[in-house]
This record gives sequence, C-alpha cells and structure tokens, in this order.
Amino acid sequence: MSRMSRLPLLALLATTACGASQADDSAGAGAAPAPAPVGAGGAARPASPAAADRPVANAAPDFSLPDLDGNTVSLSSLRGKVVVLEWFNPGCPFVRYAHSDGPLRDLAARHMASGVVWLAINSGARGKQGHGLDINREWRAKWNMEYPVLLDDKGEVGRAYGATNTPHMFVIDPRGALVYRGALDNAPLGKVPAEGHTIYLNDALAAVAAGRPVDVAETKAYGCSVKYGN
Amino acid sequence: MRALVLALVCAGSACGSAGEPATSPEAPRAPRPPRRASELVRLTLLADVARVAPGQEVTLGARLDIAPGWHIYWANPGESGLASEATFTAPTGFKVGPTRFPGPVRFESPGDITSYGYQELVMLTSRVAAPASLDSERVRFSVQASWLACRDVCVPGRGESEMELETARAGEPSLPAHAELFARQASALPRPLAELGAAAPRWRRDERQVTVALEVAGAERLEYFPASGEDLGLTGQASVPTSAGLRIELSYRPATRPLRLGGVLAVTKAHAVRYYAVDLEESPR
Repeated sequence: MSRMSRLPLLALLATTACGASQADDSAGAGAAPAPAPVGAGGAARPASPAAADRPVANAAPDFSLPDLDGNTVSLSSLRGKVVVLEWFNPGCPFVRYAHSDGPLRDLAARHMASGVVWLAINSGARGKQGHGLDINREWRAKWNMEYPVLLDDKGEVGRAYGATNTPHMFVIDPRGALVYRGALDNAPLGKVPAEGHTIYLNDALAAVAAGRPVDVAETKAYGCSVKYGN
Repeated sequence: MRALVLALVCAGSACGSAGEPATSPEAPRAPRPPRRASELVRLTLLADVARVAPGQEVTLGARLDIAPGWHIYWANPGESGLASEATFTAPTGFKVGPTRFPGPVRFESPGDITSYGYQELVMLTSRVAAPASLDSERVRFSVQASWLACRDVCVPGRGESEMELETARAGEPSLPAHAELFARQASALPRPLAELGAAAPRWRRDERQVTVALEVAGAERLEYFPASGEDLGLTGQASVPTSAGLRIELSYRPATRPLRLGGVLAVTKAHAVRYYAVDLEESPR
C-alpha cells in the first residue's frame, strides 16, 4: 500500500532531478563505454530547453543503469522518444511464459520497429532469483530480446518507479511523462478471461503514438514480486 | 464413504505454458525452483457429509495443504502474485454455488510489497444443493484448482481432485464428515458487516484524498484487505485507539466516481479474529 502513496513522490523525485541518477558512477565502471543499443552514449540534452523548463506532470524518474555489457543507459538521453520499461527476472515463471509463449515473444520487436525504445530492468538483488550477468545474458539471447537488460541490483530504480512485479510495465511519453503503469495484459500465464484478451501496453502505446491521453493509465500488475534486497 | 482422490498436480516445469520453455539440449536453463510444484501444494476435495440426501445442501471443500515457508494467494493477491482459483463440478441437477475464500493474512516482501494469502492450510469451499430426487447410488464431484506458490521464488501449480458420495435413502441421516475442519473454515469466512455492530462509516473527501473511518468497539486489532482493483487507489490504513476500541482509517486517491469498498475487514477481539465483508459506497456528508 505504501507504494501508492509514493506516486506523488515519483513526480517530486524526477522534478528535483535526484533519485537514482547517482547510480551513474557505479554503472559506468567495469567496462569500456561503447554506444548502448538504444544510443545512450553521451550526455544527451533534451531537444528543447523551453520544454525542459516546464515541469512535466507525473514525470518519470530519471535513471542511469548499466546493461549486460557495462554500457550505461540513461533515461534523460531518451527524451523525445517513447520508452517502455519492462521489469524483468529470467527465473520468474510469469516472465518465462510471457517471453516463450506469451505476448513478449514479439511485442517489443513490433513496437521498436516503429521507433519505441524498449528497456528491460532487473531489480533483483545479489543472491536473489534471476540475479547475475550470465543468467540474464543467457535468457536475453534465448528469448531474442533485441533490447538491453539493465541491472538495478540495488533496487533504487525499481523502488523509485514502485515496480512490484515481474513483468511490470511502464510507458513514458516523449515529454518524459509516465503515462502507463501496470500489467502487460489481462491474461496471467495465458489465462484469457471471458471478456477477451487485452494487451494494455498496446492500447497505451497506440494512444501515445496518436497523441491521445491513455484511457487505462494504471492497471494492477500481476506476477512474481520484484526480488529486492532487504 | 469411498473418497476417490485424484490429485493431478503439475509442476512449474512440467505444466505446459507456465513452466520452463521447451529447450533444445544446448539451451541455457533458468534457475530451477527449489522444489517441485507437486510438493509445494497438495489439493484434496472433501465434503462435509459422508452421504448426500435428495434436496440437501452440502459443502464441498478444496483443501490446499501448503509446504512450510510457502504461501498462496487470496482472491485479491495484493501487489504481487496471482489469485488462487477453484472450480467445483457436480452432476447434472446439482446447483453449485460460488467459490468462497476465507479471510487472508498479509505478507510483506522486501521493497514494501504487500500481498494477501494463506500459509499451511486453506480450504476454498462451495455450497452445493442436491436435486429433489437422486437416482444413482453414488454421485461424483470434482474440483479444478490453480494457485501460485511463493516463498523467495514463485511456482505456479494446478490440480484436479475428485470424490464420490453415497446417496442417502429417504429418512437416512447424512453423516457429518470432517466436521472440525469445515467448522474452522466456516468461522474464517467473511460475515455480513452488519453483524459487527460498528458505528456508521464516516467519509471525508478533499482534492487530495478520500478517507473512510470505521469505529469498532472492543477491537484489539483491525486490518483491512482491499478487493482486487480497489487496492490501486488505497494509499494507507491506520488504526487509532478510541475510548471504546479502535477506529480504522482508510485513505484513497480521489477518483471521479464515488468510492466503493468491497474488501474484508479482519477484527481481532478477545484474541480471536473474525472477518467481515465490507460493501460500502461513499456518501457525501
């Protein structure tokens, strides 16, 4: 429940430009910086300073996290793009279903083809299920994930977003506003309800692409709990 | 009574889509769940009678025995997890009632993740009414159930269990069965809120939140379990001592529509917990 109370805090965190961005230092360490798959190489600035001055309602908290090759990906460098965040744990049965038989088999590829930036984030702590470079590399390859898996093993980014589940999905619009948070779809483990299969994420992305407000901006996520440290 | 119990529990790794994806020999493997699903949760169908008479109402129970340290989920799993489900099947002519969930307990995971469910043992039940006449000597019931068992990791499972009851002749008593277990289960079912004898709820709304306060005389502890969906807007709950007992205050994000509560209130009095079904709609005051 405390998660819900964090919602106003999210905006605050982002507008005061603190929060997870300190993770930058540790994130960059360890590997030679190379252009990240999403093009998050340098210190990109928002396209328009005027737009940046105006506070964005429900702003998505900024973050910088390392991918599996040690490249740092920063949300701030992606301003102007639609960004999808997918909370990830390769050991979670819901993630395994979604990637092997469920909607995540091809959803990312389809939306990335129309310019959406897709990022998986693993907030599992050291020693918890799904933590570690090897296992994430293995399953990213096996599931043909052509987008980065970012490691947040301190859980700072996960907590800033209030990510509770894997998978837990977030959509950020080109202005940096969080416009959708919640479940991938309404069919946990493929169990489609009587009213039919709805992939909330598709609806949210379609609305953003059309410049419309997202009808269903928040749903209840389902899945494994994010394996945060204590 | 001959109870034919057939528990087909499939492990996360052997359960079609829910399990490990089909792998070629050289493919990497996900971390294995520490135990197989069949050891984590065992499903057994039980009835509260040993034989059923025409026109009689009996209670069927999907008994779920949960391995130590693991839990499964309530109808609203909370911030993570997946609701348990049980679907009861009876012969033609029987009327099967809705599946009833006993009041849950609360689990906290690292990261302030709150979920609701059960440990050790829970029985999901359904009232089943027999038709006015029964031709056969035996009737067969079954239940299909699914759950998500979690500890530090989660393993989905499902199962099926069957049983037969003899049919009673006219005038024959129906012979209670598993009386203690069914009584314990019934006492944990949510009762109507009116039975609590609480004062009328007090609503308050401003642009930042909607709060509802409910005072319960003699209460030692109050805890509210929101209905699924309702918890998206629930921002907090607090218990405040009063001269007569406790007052629970629930805070919600304001929505355009009047707020509707459909959860369960757990009330501890004299060290005993009772659950009450909350069905309240915001009324402006």
